[in-house]
Amino acid sequence: MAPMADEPAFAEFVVARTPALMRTAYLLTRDHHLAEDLVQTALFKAAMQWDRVEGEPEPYVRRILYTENISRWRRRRHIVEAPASHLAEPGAFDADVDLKVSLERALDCLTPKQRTVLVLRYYEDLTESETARVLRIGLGTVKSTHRRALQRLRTMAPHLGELIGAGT
Amino acid sequence: MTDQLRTVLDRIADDAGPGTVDPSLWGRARHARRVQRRLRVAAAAAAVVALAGLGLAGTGLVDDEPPAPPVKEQDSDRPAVPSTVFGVPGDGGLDLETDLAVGPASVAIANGTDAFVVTADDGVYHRLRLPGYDAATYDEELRGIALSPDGTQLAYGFQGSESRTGLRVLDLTTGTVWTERLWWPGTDPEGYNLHAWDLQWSPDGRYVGMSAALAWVGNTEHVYLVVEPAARRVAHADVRLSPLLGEASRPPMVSSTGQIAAVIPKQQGLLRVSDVTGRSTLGRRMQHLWGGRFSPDGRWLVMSGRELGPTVDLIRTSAGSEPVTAVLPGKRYPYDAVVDLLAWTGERQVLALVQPGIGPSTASPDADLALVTLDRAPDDAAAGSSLETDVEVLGRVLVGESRSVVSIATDLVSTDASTRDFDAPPFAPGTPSPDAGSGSAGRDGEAGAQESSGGPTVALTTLLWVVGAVGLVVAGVFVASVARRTRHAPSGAGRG
Repeated sequence: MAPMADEPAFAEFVVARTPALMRTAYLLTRDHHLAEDLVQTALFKAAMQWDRVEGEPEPYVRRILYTENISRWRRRRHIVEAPASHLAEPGAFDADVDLKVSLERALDCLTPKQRTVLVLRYYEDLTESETARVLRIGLGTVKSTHRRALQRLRTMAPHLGELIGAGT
Repeated sequence: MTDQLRTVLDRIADDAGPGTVDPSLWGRARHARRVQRRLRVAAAAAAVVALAGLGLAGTGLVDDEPPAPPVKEQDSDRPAVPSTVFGVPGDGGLDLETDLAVGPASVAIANGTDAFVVTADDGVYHRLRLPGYDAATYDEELRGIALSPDGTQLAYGFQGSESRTGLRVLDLTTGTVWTERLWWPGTDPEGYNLHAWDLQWSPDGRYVGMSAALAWVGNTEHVYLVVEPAARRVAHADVRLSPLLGEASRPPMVSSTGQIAAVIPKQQGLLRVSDVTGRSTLGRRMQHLWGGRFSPDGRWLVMSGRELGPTVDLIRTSAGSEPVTAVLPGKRYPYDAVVDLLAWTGERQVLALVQPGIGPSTASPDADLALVTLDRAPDDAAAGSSLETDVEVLGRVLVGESRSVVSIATDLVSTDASTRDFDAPPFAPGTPSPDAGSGSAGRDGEAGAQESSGGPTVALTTLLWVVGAVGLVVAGVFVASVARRTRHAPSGAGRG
């Protein structure tokens, strides 16, 4: 595809792809407002470089989305991640509640980096190598982050074992 | 596993909503791009003009050496903070040291990979194997280490076996480590371990204040703690200061009497100061402020925000009066600055790391170690008034891309307001390899054999240096004018 230097092409991309970007951003941030903020930031940065984007712009925008989510957390020290499932004990999430709700709660207990790796691996269906390339981090970091994320999910919600594997 | 997990993630993503994008986003982004390009062009022009002038000076037209930079008069034996502190990339190529009795330090550094100290006597960087220090937990800006004002003790958050967590204090003189396990006040120490970060020593080095959060629930629940290492006790815990969900916690400040203060986003940015009995002594809305330092007598707080700004605020802790505003000198910081306050060094002086703005919304990763002097004591200023400041740059902290966080032994700077030149560490940018040593000696020998021709050639050299300098100044002024014109332009997505 030829470079797209024009506003209409950008507007077209925004209209077509914002809902999909929002879905990913929501999984990454677990908050509607933060997700919208994240998508806008990614689109802003992409617009700045729009005339230099070669090929499909979506991978470029998504890469910004993922890395921005992690770096934003680092910059602003987003220590607080979980909604007020106050003082939930490990394994306390009710096995009877819907899997979706359980997984949502468990995801809230992950760091943004862990959540980003999980979203890339299981929602975007990337391999560990592809995840490392997209996030521009080492393969070893992806593996350890992935492992810790699953461990934490298993700790927080053991009944999700079937969903996330028994693990080692 | 994968398919089922993906299906459930898909269902969660269904809750995302459509999302809206600011219609002006394209225009703002392109505007920002144009500004960025102009600044790059201007910077390139500056470099070309300067290099042309300086390059001529270095040609065979003249045969004398360029003037050496002025050398500071200094006591070579005095323990001191290096005039240039370098961030450490990765492990810095340094061996891991298990003998922790390295001696008093002037600087401590954490970079997400390891913890380092710079010894105060010789400026040497040491990579320490701190027992239980999980560098990854304290990656980036989560400050998991803090050097005492006198440089003899290093406090750090630890995570030991069986998920035990808390605070450790290393005596750098003896190498001994004291451990204080931390858990949620009034609960089971085995089930409610606390991770500690944002450590800060009180001005007299008696207390360590910190943020702490439950280790296993994603840091949801938050408490501020004050520990007194010499007495081996937790002096004070305040659980009322939890930040708002989704908000970053803000670093606490601790006084020499054990008071702790923090801005609480959950309560509309209430600045709460409470003493060791838990009694709250001040409540004032300071949403724009991030952190700061108590004065030695505990009567004043100096605080700054986290974004670029032209001021720091001085707040009287005994009353809810309007803060006194100290304005940074615009000539030195034309694009404002991000100020990390380190210590009061006098009634009118504050030591700080100042990251100058290098554009309308961007701060340099490198910082000035700066002594900020107020034009009068805050006690003499009316509530709500502004003070002018003068800034003396004592040194530089060159972090670059290393993501290092530094903690400085402020007593070493405050006693005589100076730093000391040490040899650069091996990982410092531009440091010659060990093989280059003989070359350096050779150059010295050649320089000694050379004789300056003096007279007209010296005048010509001076002229060419002036041409280079003028080129730099002209280009710098151009950069400044371009940026100033765009200073109030909207910047940064996500605010729309």
